[in-house]
Amino acid sequence: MQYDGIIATFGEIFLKGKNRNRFIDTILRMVKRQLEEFDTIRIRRTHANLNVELNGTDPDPVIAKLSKVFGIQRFQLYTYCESDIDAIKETALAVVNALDDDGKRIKITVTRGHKQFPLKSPEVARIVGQYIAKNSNVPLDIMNPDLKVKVQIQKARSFIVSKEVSGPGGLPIGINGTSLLMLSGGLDSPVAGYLMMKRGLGIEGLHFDSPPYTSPRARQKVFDLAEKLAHYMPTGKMVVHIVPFTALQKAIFEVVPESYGITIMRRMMYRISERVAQRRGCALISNGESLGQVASQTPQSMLTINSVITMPVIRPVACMDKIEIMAIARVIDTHDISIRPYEDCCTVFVPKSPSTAPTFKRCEQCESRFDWAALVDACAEGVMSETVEAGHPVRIDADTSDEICALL
Amino acid sequence: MIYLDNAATTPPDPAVLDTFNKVYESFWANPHSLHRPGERAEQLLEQARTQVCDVLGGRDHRAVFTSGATESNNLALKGIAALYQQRGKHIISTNSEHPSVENVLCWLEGEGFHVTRLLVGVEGHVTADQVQGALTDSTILVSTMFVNNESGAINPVGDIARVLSQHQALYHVDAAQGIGKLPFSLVDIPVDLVSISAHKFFGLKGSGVLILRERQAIEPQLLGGGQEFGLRSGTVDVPRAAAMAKALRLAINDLPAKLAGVTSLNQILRDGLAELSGLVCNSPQSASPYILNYSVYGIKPETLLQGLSQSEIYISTVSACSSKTAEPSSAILALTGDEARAQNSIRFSLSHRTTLLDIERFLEVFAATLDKLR
Repeated sequence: MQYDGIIATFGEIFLKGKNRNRFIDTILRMVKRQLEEFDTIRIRRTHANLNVELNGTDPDPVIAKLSKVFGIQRFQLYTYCESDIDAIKETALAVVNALDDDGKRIKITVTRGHKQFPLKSPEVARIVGQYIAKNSNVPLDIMNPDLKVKVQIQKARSFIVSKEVSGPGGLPIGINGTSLLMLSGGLDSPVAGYLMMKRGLGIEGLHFDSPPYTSPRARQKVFDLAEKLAHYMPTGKMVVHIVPFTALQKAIFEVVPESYGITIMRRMMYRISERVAQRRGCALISNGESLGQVASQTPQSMLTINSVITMPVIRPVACMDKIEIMAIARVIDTHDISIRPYEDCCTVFVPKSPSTAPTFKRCEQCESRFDWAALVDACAEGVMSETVEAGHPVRIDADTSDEICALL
Repeated sequence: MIYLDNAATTPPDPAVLDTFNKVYESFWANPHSLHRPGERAEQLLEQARTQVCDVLGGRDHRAVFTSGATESNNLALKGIAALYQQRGKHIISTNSEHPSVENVLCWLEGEGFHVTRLLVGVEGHVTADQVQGALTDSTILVSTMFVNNESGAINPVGDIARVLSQHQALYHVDAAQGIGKLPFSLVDIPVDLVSISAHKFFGLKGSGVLILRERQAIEPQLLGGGQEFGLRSGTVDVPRAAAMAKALRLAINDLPAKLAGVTSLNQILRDGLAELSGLVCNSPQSASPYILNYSVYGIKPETLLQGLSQSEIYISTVSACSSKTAEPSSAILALTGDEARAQNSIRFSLSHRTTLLDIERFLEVFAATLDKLR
């Protein structure tokens, strides 16, 4: 059956007051950008939702695109007709006859935005229901329906919604500012980034690069992850900052006892992150730390590590199981990139028995053994920033890419 | 020379050979090595893989590089049968498959699988209704070719795929004679597994692909270092993979125009041959225009082939893969039900490089050769 269009409804932004229009404008801009490639589509904004008129376009790819626009709660696929009782009942009959799933028990519900319509909602529901009962085999069940077919009577025309799909939910990106995301290349940090964006924050990535301990492929991984996340950004772009971390990392592992290596390294990373975040105007740092997952992610470790900075650190996946994190990674298409087997700076120097309960005192002792402040400065100042655009993966070796394009 | 045996193989496109050579010169490293040259080779390999899928519209599919359609067919059939034998041991295919499918089916029968071979109709293909009728709860796999290598008959793969979308059985299509010649998009034709061979569309021998769905598991038939997602171990032949991607892109490029050209030559050839006596056409009008099969009477096909060879015109008797045996053409037997016609079949196979001049000259020489030898 051909759907005429999709109504995208908004979720909790309706709870907001004066900012509501700004939120909806943000969503509208995002929707327009996501649907650029579909020429025949028309988008109308109404006071309560967006109406995407398909004009013959297949709804599935459109919904796939719109599922990247946070703030949309639901997609209602509709068929429209004139606001006339005969047209409504004929169209409703055609719609229920064309439903994918046979044997679904349906109920007709009616809302009447157009109050001048001569029949009241319950009357319309009764007339349409009886007409369907008489002219088709579709089972009706008012008490326990499997599917509600919703007739929405408007002045200009009426909509018959026969399919609903959940939207991504959340808040439109940009309304809550920007967060700096510590992006290692593993499974957790991209998911953390996704969840930050879902709460309306833009994100910029920060990656610690330690050549030759880490390979260029690890950096490539980060760019590829950023490309996936960029699809959700209102601009379709995500900035990634690459920190030259080798010198600092070497210094740490020369002077710090093995069991404290990771703790001190994380403290340094937090310091550098805060510096970069401040410079970029980010109010928050976020990362993929998950409670109890590794030694540096015990409550005691988090305390000693987090205490070196004052900026809030949000850990969206802190209370999630690995299985839950992986499920989201699959949805946002970062899973297969994250599992590429290359060393990153967190895995390369993993000690045999890292401390799970580091103390402030010992951390301070360790840090007194070298001039870390200068090394942190050098890291924060030496950041290289790259903008990754959705649909245009950055290749760290563009020369090879050109060479390959010419060959294929 | 007039080469009308393009279904057996095609000459490599110079551009494809050029890619192959250049890749061997500058991307010869093992794509699984972690050093820089290995990285470059891997990048090329993955780009080639993506291109193959993109060209075929395979958004949810991935490509595994193999040594050719025979290996792809073996991997698909044995791999799926081994994996899903707990679900059932029933496989559906047709009675005019290529030996690289038919012989695997025979082997699987020896392993305890039950194979239903649907009979092709007068047009040389099976129908989606036949597939529907043969499905049982224990059917795990349906395998049909896209285009028959001997008659050119086209199976309704899209219709069959739609029937199977409601069933647990996976759908494998041996598309060796179809892809690169006829329009084929996984978007419209959502099959689960597709076998492809590069040398049928001006690529290299020893170069094939098995397309399968992204998350489709399959029992590997070659064990080793776990290359190609663990489905096909062995150091990957990056130059050949690149050549495959290139050949496929060139084949698909401007396909409607090429197809129209071949279709019109096919008609001219049909019309010209219709005027000769003792000759009957086995290829249905609905067949692929790239393949035309005839039966000749009063002369052995082999003699005719040798006679034409003297004038540098090259055709084939039964398909090259089975021409070493004296068996009659099974596909033509299945299509016509006539042993004599199957015994006496000859095949002309065209490509977009065949010219009108080729066809006109061929018709002239063919008529003269027939007269001379009969």
